[in-house]
Amino acid sequence: MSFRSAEDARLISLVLGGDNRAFDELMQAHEDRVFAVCLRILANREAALDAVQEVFITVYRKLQQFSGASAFSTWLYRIAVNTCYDQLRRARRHEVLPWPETTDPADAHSANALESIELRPDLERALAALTPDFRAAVVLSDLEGLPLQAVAEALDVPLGTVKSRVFRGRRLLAEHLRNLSGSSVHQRGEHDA
Amino acid sequence: MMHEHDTELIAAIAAGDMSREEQAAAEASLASCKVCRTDLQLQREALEALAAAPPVMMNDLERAAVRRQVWTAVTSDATRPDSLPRAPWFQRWIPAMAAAAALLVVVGVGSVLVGDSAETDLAVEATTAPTENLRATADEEMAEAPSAGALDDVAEAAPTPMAALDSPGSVVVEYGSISSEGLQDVALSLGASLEAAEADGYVSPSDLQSPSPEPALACAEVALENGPISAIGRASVEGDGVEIYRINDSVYVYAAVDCSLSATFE
Repeated sequence: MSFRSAEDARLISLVLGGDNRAFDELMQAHEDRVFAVCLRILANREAALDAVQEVFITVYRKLQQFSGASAFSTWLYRIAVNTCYDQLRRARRHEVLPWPETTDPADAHSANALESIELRPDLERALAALTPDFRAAVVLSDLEGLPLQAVAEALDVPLGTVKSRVFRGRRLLAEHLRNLSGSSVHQRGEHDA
Repeated sequence: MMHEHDTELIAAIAAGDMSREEQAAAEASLASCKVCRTDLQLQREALEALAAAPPVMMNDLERAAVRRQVWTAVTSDATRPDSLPRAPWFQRWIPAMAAAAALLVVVGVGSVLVGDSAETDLAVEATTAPTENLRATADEEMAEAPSAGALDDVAEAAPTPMAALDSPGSVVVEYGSISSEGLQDVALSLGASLEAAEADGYVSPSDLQSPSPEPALACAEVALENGPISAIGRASVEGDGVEIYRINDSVYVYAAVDCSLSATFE
């Protein structure tokens, strides 16, 4: 068991014993990674902040249900991903957070859901153009560095599905990046002309 | 010879998860498969871009706001085990905020002045809170949260949020929109020294979509680290707009406009 896992276990035990300070410590230990995942999936800073808030409220509420069969961080990621999915569904229903439904690598403008991200590197646009399923798999695997098995647990899908999503997600991502890069060059060329 | 769609092998090559010899042999096996070579190149490009992604994190203001709202929700749940989390405090006070333009926080310190003499009123003038991205979560959104209604067991185990502070100390002001002078008054009333003061609000009327075009909200956050109080009870609020709670060794006082507070520190 890693130090972090051992420390998580200790803090969880304290929280369940009634120590709310331990919950604050638990939150401090994980809030940045949860925020990173939520921001990458939602591509909207305010929505990500809302999601982080919701995630930790859920964690507090459901902590007794955490069995310890997987790492706490994996369980936490699962809640985070589900919370983000819920937000995307709500946003789609209320049309407050435009979200690309399709992944058309040729459409460089399909990632216009990044309005509230301060910096808009091509990578963020390319990520935003992936479907949420692919995006979550790539984010957890390649940005958060989770082993594929942990990603599978976090996404509650078979390992093979995760492998496929990660592979196809990377491929689409690279294609988007190529198109974005191409459109930049094209735009520069037009401007120069 | 690999199969044309052996994506696991391609992913492994791209990730460099094999020895140099294995890598060379695997790449050589792609020589006759154009699709595989293209896939390998795309995997590598994606991984390279992802590896170069800058880290993202909350800024201090966002972090404080998230913690505050989580804490408000969970401590509310501790006393209301059968209820859903409440909306953020400031959202509940929007009607009161619309009518007011000035902040009046009156803090009485019970541990210093007990009983009828326990309340020392200090007028604290507010400055306008600057804009900060902090979107209030609507009640209905919270109700739709996947977690809604699931806390019942934990709530019983949760302790009261305001436990005893250990020793006298100082007042540390993190984010607030009350004046430094006002904060100094608060500090003095608590028999503590003011370490830092930032007239740096975290919620603005525009964030709350207040109907008033003028600044209709000012909020103060006063953290009393190791304050000269043994415990803090729930504040009794006159009017809308003040809430006190505790996170670790800090006591947070939030004040909106047109309100006064009599807080009893037990």
